[in-house]
Amino acid sequence: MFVEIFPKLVNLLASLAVGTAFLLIARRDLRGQVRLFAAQSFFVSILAGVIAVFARSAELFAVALGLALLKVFIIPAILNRAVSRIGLQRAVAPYLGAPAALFVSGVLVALAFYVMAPITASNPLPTADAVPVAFAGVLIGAFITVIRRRALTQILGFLMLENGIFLLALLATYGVPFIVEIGVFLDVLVAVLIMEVFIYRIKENFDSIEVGEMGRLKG
Amino acid sequence: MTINEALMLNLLAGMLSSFGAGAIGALLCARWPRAARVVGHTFALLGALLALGLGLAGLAGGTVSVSIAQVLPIGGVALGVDRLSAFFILVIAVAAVPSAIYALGYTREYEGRYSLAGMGAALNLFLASMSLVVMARNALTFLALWEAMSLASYFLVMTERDDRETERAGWLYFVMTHAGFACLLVGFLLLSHATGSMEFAGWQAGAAAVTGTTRNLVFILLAVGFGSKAGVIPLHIWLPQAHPAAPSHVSALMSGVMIKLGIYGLVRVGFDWLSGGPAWWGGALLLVAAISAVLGVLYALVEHDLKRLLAYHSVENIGIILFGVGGGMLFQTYHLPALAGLALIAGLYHTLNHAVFKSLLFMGAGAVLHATHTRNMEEMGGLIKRMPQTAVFFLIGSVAIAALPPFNGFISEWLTFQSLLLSFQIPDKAVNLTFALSVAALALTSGLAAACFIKAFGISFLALPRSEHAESAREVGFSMRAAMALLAVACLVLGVAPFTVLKFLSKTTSELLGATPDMQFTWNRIVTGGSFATVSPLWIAVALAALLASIPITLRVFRANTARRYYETWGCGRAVQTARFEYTATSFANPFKRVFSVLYRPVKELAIEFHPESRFFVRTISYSNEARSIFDDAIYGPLNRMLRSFAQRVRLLQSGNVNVYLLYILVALVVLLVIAR
Repeated sequence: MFVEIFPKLVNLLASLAVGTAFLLIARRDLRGQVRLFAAQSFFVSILAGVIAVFARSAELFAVALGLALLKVFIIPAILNRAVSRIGLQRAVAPYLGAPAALFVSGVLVALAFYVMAPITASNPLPTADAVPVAFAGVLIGAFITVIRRRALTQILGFLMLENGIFLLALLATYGVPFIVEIGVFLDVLVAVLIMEVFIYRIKENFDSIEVGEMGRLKG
Repeated sequence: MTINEALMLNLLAGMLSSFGAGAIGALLCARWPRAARVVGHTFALLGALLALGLGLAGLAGGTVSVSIAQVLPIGGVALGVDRLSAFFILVIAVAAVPSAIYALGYTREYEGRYSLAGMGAALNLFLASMSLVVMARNALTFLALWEAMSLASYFLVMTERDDRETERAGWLYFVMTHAGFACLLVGFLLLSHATGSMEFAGWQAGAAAVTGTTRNLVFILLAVGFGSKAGVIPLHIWLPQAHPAAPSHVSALMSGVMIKLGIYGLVRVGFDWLSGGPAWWGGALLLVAAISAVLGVLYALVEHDLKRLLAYHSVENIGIILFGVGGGMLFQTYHLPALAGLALIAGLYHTLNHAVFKSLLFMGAGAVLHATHTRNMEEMGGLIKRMPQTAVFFLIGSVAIAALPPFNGFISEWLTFQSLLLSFQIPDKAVNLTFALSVAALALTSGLAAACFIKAFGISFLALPRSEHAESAREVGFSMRAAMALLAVACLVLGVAPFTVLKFLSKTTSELLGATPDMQFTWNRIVTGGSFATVSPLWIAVALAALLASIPITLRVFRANTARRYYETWGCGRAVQTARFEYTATSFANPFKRVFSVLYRPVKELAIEFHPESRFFVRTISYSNEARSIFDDAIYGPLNRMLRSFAQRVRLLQSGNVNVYLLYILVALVVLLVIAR
């Protein structure tokens, strides 16, 4: 019974995770955006847990727990602190409006299915059908960093991209070795901490965290 | 005498640990400039002395080979010493020992102004990488050490980095040295690919199978790469910028030693790795040699910056060395290994000699700079009274570089002449003509070099001081004078007793060419080409000394009035004599400027401002007569403009907007994925 619904469950959770990325594009207030990231991480860690049970892998289960702790609680908390420290509640308008951005994201999803078709076809795992969805998550995450004006919202795009990569590894091979996963977790945590501090410093020094300002550095 | 390998290994290890201790020690003493200066330079001196031992032991027949596989990929670190390596280690050490002694005193005035820790570390690293690069036995080891040497010398050039001119010089040096490095890299990879080996021994074994375009391409790339380090014209432009900008002991090392490693590379390419090639290789080297020698000395003649003048002389002397190397390659093409050996000996001997007298001259110039705080000769003058010992040392260096007996320049230039003249044994009229023209070029160069050093010594040291700086100059400290004295003695010894070096050199070239050179020598004479020419350096020295001694003796014999009398110099009837009436460096150079105006393309400017009431009263006259570099105008200018306009176009991509850069990444990823599917 579990074996039958397992692929469907995997597809559902992966789609939910990517769906939150779509919502992130549409949403303007910063705390809401952070919540969306936490939601995505929640779906991803549930998915990891489900796969861990299915594959009977204690390691993967530990990874799922670690992921939930780190990305559902710790990182959102850090980001929320950053939001309150810079004292901004709403994101400025991105380079691309929500309708156009959603359209491009749709195109990216189609592209992900096109690109990943050979891999889906050749992969024997029951989770293989969801691989294109995960890859769409990667592309959308990257796309969010492209259209966002502010460093903080770009970080959210980066984190979603990172979630997408984790998802991809999870679905295509049931996750990379434990030690690598732990390394990546630490990397992300440190990256977020550093970026949080940097954003605050940049704000302090330049009175703005708009990355467009960096164009003035050009000689 | 046999030298066992353990001794060689100990010398090598000792040398490396001294340089290492010097570099680390200097950095540890970063907070105490005086300690950093003493520690850095003392260990450099120790390392240089051990390098001297290593070079001598290697020349006496000692060999060593070390390989450590783990440090570098593709073959690891592989070091080895043969006689050619040992000879160049000797050349490095001969300049490095006095340089380290000199630097102890010279860098005293840098305390508190520039980082002596950085300087000490870079100097040790520079000396270590130079000594090691000639021992490299595979491509990657060589390239890594070559780059380390370039970077260390770059940091040394940039010592006085707050000076705008230094910054420009450093930048130019950086660009030129890396352009050369790129050529070497491509050449090495081509040769490795063609022979299927990254080891130098493999290159030598497989070189015969490399033919046609690849062989020529490898030669051209390596010749350009090594030529840019050697500073041959037209790749010389960094020398006259970088040498004056560096601290003087570093100029001495760069000019005396580092550029010689370009010669080392050329000798390796021509006689070892590729072992011989078509006649045009040697012919091209002879042509480059002639151009470098003649143009180098001509540019030096019109230069009034003392250190820059010396830098141009390095270009000239590299040309003279290349006469030997290029001639040797031609002899080898025509299967005359005995003559090839003679030509190569001439080139290598001049390499050693130039290392000695050019270091001496740069140190002399450094002493003058130290005392007067100017490099402009027009502001010197009268220094012989104020710095008599420095003046004597500089004079010895000048006589040596002008190739006059009894000093060392004479011997090596004589050998070069002899080897070029013996080219009549080659049965090819075109090649004979090339050699004849080379002889003419070398003769012209020697004459012009002598003229140039009359100017350099005469304007700087003789007559009345031309500025207050020169007026208040004082003799420099003991360590600086000791270093110069060492080198001056070396000039004399190498000029009077050349057999000491020739013994080693003939073994070196025999090892390289597999045939004994066409030369016999004893402690007092050298015979080349069977009985083609003979010279007795010792008797020339004795005759000159006797001639000099005969002047006071004759005066005494004829009871001439030898009491000292003090008179004014002839003053054209003027009542007072000031330094403004003196002959200047500009006026000395002017006849040459006129004769060779095609080359200098001087831009003359004469502006006279008259008194408004009458044209008979002149308020000011300003005259300038600058020489322009045809290389800047014809080669580097257009190249620079091309590069700039290309860069302008590429800059469109660089919007400065982070989002756009991220977009590039995303688009590149998507496009690649779609293509790869």
